[in-house]
Amino acid sequence: MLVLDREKDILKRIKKGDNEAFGELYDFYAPKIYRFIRLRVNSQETAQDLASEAFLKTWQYLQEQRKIRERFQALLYKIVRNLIIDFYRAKSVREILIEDNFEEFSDLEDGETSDKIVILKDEIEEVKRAMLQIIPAYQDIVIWYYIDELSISEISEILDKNEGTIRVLIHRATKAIRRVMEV
Amino acid sequence: MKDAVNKIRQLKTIQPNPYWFKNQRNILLQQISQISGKKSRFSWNNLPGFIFSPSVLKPVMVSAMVLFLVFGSGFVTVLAAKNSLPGDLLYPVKIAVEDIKIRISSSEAKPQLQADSICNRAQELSQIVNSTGDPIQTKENVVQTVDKLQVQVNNTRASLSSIKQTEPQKAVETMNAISDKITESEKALTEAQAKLAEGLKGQEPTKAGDEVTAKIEAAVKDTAVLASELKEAKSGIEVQMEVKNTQPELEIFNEASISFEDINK
Repeated sequence: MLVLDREKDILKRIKKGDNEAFGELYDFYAPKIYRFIRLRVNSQETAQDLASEAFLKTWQYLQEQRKIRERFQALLYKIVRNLIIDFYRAKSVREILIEDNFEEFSDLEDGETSDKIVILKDEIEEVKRAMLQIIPAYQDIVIWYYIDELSISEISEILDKNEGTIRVLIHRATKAIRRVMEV
Repeated sequence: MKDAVNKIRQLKTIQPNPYWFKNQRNILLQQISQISGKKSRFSWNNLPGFIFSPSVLKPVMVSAMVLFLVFGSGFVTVLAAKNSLPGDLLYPVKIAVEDIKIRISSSEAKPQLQADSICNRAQELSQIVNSTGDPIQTKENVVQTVDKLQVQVNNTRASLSSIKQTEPQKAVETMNAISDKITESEKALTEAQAKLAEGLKGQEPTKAGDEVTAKIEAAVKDTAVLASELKEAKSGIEVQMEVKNTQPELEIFNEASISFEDINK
């Protein structure tokens, strides 16, 4: 968590015009942000475009603000959420993810048998289909809490809601996805 | 049966494409410096630093070198180097001239020159595998050429992605323009790969042989991916053109069906 420890310092460097400092934040957050978007849209290309846009918008926002009150992560996720909302609004129809071809499993360990990979892929597809059947607000919660492993306070900062509300949301989102997956 | 939460946690394995991840970082920092560069105000105090900064000095020096090579005493050398092959004395001159041309070109022209470079490497590769020279030297030349080709394939993709971000329409036009060249190169590469495999057939497997086979295989794959991306973009344009062309006919048809409905009323 080195980047997180140095975040204030990095943000100061960005304000002073050090672009490489923004690159450090990109290195740390881009994989998470990409994954978050990828789980909400149905193509790799769209996820890449939205992730690129999110980072550029976040940098522009940082330049415009005199003082940054929130943590970078919360700011980035807020911008990403708005971009996804705009994306679906523009498309007017909710995308169907069933036809999606997931090719991005670079974390699968070397030496894993092809059978195991096929099973994993099937399970991932199953989760993706289940995610589609719950409301977008719950999808966000599931990704942040179980996949990105954000704390309740971090999620509350992104959503501007108190921690009690977030606990309730996690409980409901978990219940919703379990219900869909266990059918 | 695994618990739902455990299954959800498996989604952590989803990672961005490493090439996109790295390339996007460069594009992002480039965009940021462009935007912040536009915002910064001019100051006379910054002038010497600006003139001698690498971003200004480098293109100036490169242009001067090209002018020297093209109009100076190097002109004859450049011409002579044009048909040289890897391993030839003048081959580095040919590569340097290509490289300089790409470096000083505009962002729109860059992918076209890079595609030319891919074409040249593919042709050179065909000539190398069809020649009857020293087998060790031939393998070295193949590896060298394939490496250069792959660098250009990656650079072309990066240049296209860079234009795509700023000028999507121009990116599509450029993709359309270079599509055939990349398809031709892919074909030449596949032929060279087959020829090479044929040559290695009777021989004992060696480390050098395996390296050559793996390298050319990777290059064929990368070029094929680029070619199919470009083909897709090209067919997209054709569909758009067709839609445009059929639009007036559709309008006539729509008008006709409205009047037909009016009659029925």
